[in-house]
Amino acid sequence: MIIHFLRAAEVDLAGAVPRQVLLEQNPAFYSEFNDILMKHIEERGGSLFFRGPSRQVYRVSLTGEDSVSLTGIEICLMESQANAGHISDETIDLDLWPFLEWLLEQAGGEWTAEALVKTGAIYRVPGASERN
Amino acid sequence: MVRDIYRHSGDIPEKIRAIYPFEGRWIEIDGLRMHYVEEGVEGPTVVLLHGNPTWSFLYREIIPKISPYCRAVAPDYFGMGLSDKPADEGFYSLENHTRLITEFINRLRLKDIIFVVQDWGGPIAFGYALAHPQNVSGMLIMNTWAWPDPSDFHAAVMPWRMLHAPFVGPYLLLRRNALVERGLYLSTSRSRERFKEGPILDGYRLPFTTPGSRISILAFPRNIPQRPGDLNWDRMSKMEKGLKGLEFPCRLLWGERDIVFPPNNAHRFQGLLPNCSSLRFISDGSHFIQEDAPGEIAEEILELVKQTPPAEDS
Repeated sequence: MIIHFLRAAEVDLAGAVPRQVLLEQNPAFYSEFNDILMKHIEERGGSLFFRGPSRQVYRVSLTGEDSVSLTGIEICLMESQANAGHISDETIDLDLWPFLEWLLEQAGGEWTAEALVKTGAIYRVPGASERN
Repeated sequence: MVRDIYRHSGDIPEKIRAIYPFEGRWIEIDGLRMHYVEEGVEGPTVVLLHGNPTWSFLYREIIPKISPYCRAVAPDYFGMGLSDKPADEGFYSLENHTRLITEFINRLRLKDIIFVVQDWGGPIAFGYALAHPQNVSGMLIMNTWAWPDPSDFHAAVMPWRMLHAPFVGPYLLLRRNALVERGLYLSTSRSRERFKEGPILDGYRLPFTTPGSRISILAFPRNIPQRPGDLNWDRMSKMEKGLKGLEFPCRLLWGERDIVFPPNNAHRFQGLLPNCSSLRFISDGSHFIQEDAPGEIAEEILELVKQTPPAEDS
């Protein structure tokens, strides 16, 4: 899976409101996942941006540095104020799926996008269904 | 650190109340509200411990069958059922669950307990029993484990370790609620049709309405050790070594079709526990044996109740 990360300058974020759609509190549960994301986040100055199949933009960044919110790495949907609350969970799930496939391929070894798709199919999640 | 807390209203829709008709009770522990069911009469105390992703609802068909003969107590762990759910994943360690259930038992002054355990109920109850063997008078053990080495299912990437891998876990278990929506169906046998749709599936969905209310469902799998050095490897190694010193009577009842804990796990318990008088397989039972065989479970509990001497006042 190829995923194109965008630089903040490439994304029109004027008026965008971040909505947390996924929080990983323990990204180092398997350290390879944490290493990959930290490397990419640091290379891009603290945040990764990607576009899902729906063309919505998502931000991947660290959270918890304010000592108020939970510590981890979060993915936020960058919603325009006009669209706030109108993007469905189903759309978001389909948008996140390619990011997961990319992450697993980057992790490598026993972690494969194929295993993700098969697991997703067992549990009947929409991203996996789209692939089958 | 406990920060945000998800608290269920305790309101139960009529169609679920019809099959889970118990009065809800709550006790405050560490500033959090723990929900539990208590039914029955003066007599032996039976504590029914659930696993993941379930709650006391799992025992709804068993409690009415045993409560005429004993005091049946079924708590929901923090993070599960109608108990409070702190948002911090680190809160949900095996050590903390065991400490909090110990506190629950102390606060309710439960004596001479007969434990009924399945899935995570096993490691939590054995943790308690090893520290307080004098307060345990029996145990019914069902489709669980008490040693550090993972089952083949737990060791495999697909589907188990994938289900709770970083980012995939929050996606599948928090956003998609996959263990409730599909895992229950996959891990039952005789009762499987119940988990396509209807009030029983709705009952399991009830406590876990948002991704933020499902953190403990993700935390439980991450507490299963895979190799030395992992969280809980040492704890569960000591647990296994301690089993031979537990002299209270145990009975085993096992869903034979369980791929999480296949029947060899039952034989392993039989070899480790010194006073295990009975091993009964349910040929068309699976992991959530409480759904597949509630009648057989009630029979086994009542066998333990019969063997239990009256509690002495302390």
